[in-house]
Amino acid sequence: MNNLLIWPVALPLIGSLLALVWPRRADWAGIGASVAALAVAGLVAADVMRHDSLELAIGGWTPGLGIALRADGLSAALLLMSSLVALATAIYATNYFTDAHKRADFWPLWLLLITALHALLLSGDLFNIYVTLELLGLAAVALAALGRTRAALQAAVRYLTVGLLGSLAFLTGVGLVYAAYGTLDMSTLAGQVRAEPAAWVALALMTSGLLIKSALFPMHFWLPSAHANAPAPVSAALSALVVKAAFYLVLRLWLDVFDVALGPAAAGMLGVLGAFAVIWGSWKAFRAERLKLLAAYSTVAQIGYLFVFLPVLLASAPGAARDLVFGALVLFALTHGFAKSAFFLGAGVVLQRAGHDRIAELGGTARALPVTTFGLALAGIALIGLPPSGTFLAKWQLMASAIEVGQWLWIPVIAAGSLLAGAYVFRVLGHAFGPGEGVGPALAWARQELPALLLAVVATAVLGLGAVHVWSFVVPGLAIGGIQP
Amino acid sequence: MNALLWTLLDLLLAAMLLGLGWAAVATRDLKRGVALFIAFGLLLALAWARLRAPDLALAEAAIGAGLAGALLLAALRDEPRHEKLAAAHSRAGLWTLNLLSVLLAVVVAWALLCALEMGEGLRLAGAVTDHIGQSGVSNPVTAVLLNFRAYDTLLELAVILSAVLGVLALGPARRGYGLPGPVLGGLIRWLVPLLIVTAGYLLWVGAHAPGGAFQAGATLAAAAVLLRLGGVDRAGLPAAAVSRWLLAAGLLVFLGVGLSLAGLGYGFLQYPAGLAGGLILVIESAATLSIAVALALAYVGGWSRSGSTQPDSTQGGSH
Amino acid sequence: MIDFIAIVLIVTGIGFFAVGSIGLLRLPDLHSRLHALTKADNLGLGLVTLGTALLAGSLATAIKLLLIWLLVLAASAASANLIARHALERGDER
Repeated sequence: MNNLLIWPVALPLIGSLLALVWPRRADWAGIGASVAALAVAGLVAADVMRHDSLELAIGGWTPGLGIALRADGLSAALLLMSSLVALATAIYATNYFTDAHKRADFWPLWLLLITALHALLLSGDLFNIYVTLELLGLAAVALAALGRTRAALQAAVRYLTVGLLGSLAFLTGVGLVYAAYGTLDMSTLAGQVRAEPAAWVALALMTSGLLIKSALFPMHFWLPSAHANAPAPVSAALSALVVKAAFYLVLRLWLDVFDVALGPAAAGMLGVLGAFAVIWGSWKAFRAERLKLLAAYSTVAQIGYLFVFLPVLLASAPGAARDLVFGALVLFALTHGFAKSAFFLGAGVVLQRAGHDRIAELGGTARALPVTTFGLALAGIALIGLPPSGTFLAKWQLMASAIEVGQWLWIPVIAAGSLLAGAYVFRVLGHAFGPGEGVGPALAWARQELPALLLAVVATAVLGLGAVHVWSFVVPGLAIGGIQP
Repeated sequence: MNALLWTLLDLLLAAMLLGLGWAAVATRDLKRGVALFIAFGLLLALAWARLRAPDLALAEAAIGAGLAGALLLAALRDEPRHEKLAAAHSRAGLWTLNLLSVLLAVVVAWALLCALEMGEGLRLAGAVTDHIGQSGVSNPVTAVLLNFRAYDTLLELAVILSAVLGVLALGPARRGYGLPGPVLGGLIRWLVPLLIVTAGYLLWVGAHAPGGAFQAGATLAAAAVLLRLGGVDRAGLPAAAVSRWLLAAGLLVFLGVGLSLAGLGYGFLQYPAGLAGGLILVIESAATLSIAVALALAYVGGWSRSGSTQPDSTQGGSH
Repeated sequence: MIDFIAIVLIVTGIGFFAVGSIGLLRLPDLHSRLHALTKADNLGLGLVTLGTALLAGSLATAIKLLLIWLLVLAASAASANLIARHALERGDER
């Protein structure tokens, strides 16, 4: 019996318990669990590459009666991304919290967050996914409140309320699914669903719950304050991973489970909301006065792109054309995960060193913090979608496929969003490279500056240059020759 | 005649639930809202009992009405004044919201009706009955929670842990209560041992009748709430270092059992034939303690100010 | 015969409940309301318990019902005491 799939969930959970009972050695528990989780995620990815997909029926019960964990290219890629981002962020966090109490509070919750993410990515059961969403939401709220400032607490309470609303909508949908089809196992369900009222309403409920959680325009209102007021490592995980987990579920439900129950109009609606998110989020990011708020609004915009992919994806003919768009979508999600976490960590360094993150007063940062500034610039390249970042290839493919399926509408949206992203990134860099007193003496601060830089390098160079491998990993049968941009 | 009476009773129950729920949400007086919410929880427990789900009825009465109510009252006490809520929305906005909620309810009800009319299809209850012989327990709810879908329960314990860790991260305990008068003090001295015995009974009986770790843990936590109301600030909780272990115990044992089985060549949480009942009882006992400590800590509101709360001083007891 | 006695007991018990509830709604001040509520409810519940115990059919169930009645008795006595004391201390006797 191959129990590999339980380990990405079990290891962070063990780490969390150890950090709870040994608060003084919590750093070690945190780093150790993160390293181990990354290693296991690598093993899962390697196994997925060999077998295309993995399944673990927990307790030996047939899925349906019991719960199955499953991994395929999509979940393994996201698993690898999230455990890598988690490790880099954990290393960063060892130097971030100076207060021993906050540090002791941080680690168990942080590792529970990673547990929830991994459990969500691997779950093959709708109710189990609800449980992971609850765990994810509660851990995220508790972490977002760690700042303990008034603004952070208010944002956290709003985050909690909105998150519970989303969970409740999702759970109602799950209940309907069970009433209609008598099973919660997603692969069994995929064979049962037909185009009928129960399936439509259930999907609509689950999707709206997930849209709230993934902060798609106009349900994004809770995100900027929650993400901008959390401690830097928490913001990085919330923006790069947590929001994306909800999008991953939308993708799973729409592509794998409910695909027969869907018309093109539904995907088009999500695409339109995504387009609004791209424009509105980018515009608000451009107008933001604080670096972390800018990064948070940029997340709103980037999530919008992910939803713009959906109508194009569903309109593409199944087979190579659809696989190309799908690969591009995953590449975009991965790149944003790395870039946004790098950006938030970099912003955290600036905030801690300068004592503020007002963009207009960042003059001299480039001289004082060259490594961090370089990391911010690299992450910015990925956020805009300039070559050689993964985003560039993904957007290119999106536009090419949009033309192919005749959905010209998205092209100006993508172009405008990229221009605005260029504007907000260069506004930050312009101030950072400008004259000024800087943000204190230039000190080597390797444990904080290097993780951010590494994440940014992955986003810009590794994923961009290695994009072909992402495509072939996510859609195994794809002919590699067809995707030279 | 009899069936008609029951239907009438059920309709009355449903109407009262709707009325109480509405009243609890609509009132501007927070204290009144909490009182109505507790009443709502008790009636909901009755509704579960009517639906022949005694496990849920027990859990709803103990956690939904009892502990949640106690938590809400404790939170109200922290408010500087019992301010009446100002109207957050305009009247028109409120009615639009109400209209939308009703519309949503109608759509969901319609979909549910459609779903139920689709006929029997797959149902899991049959599968549970077929396999309960191999599950190690005879109470189907416990079989689902601790065997067939044990992984859900494992993660649920993590959910409870994350909630209480969130509470603990927000600061030290709330201030305690004064010493009680002779009547309340006497009652508490009398009730706490009774609650502890009841918790043990609920834990044990879970294998073959309604009960189990969640209900037992909630009952223990109720004893802690009573103790705190009776002037014991720490609510009978042990020192912080021990409490941390107790908080982790449920998950540690659960994971430990699951992973050991995986190490022995079984699947994760795949109980070997014959051992299932015993292993489930071990897991449930640890889970009971963790749930009780978690709920009690949430009620207390944090590590107590006087006790050894700091990470530095927990070191002594943690080896 | 037993059925008949049980029904009479239960109906009488419900009558006490009704009187207690009316008292709760109509009596002028807190102490008399408490008086009406606790006395009537305890007696009412006692009669209902007695009635259902007769119908229970087994001694174990009957004892359980008796235990429930005792617990409710203790709890309502204590809570009445608390409410009354609180009201006395605050001087709020509406």
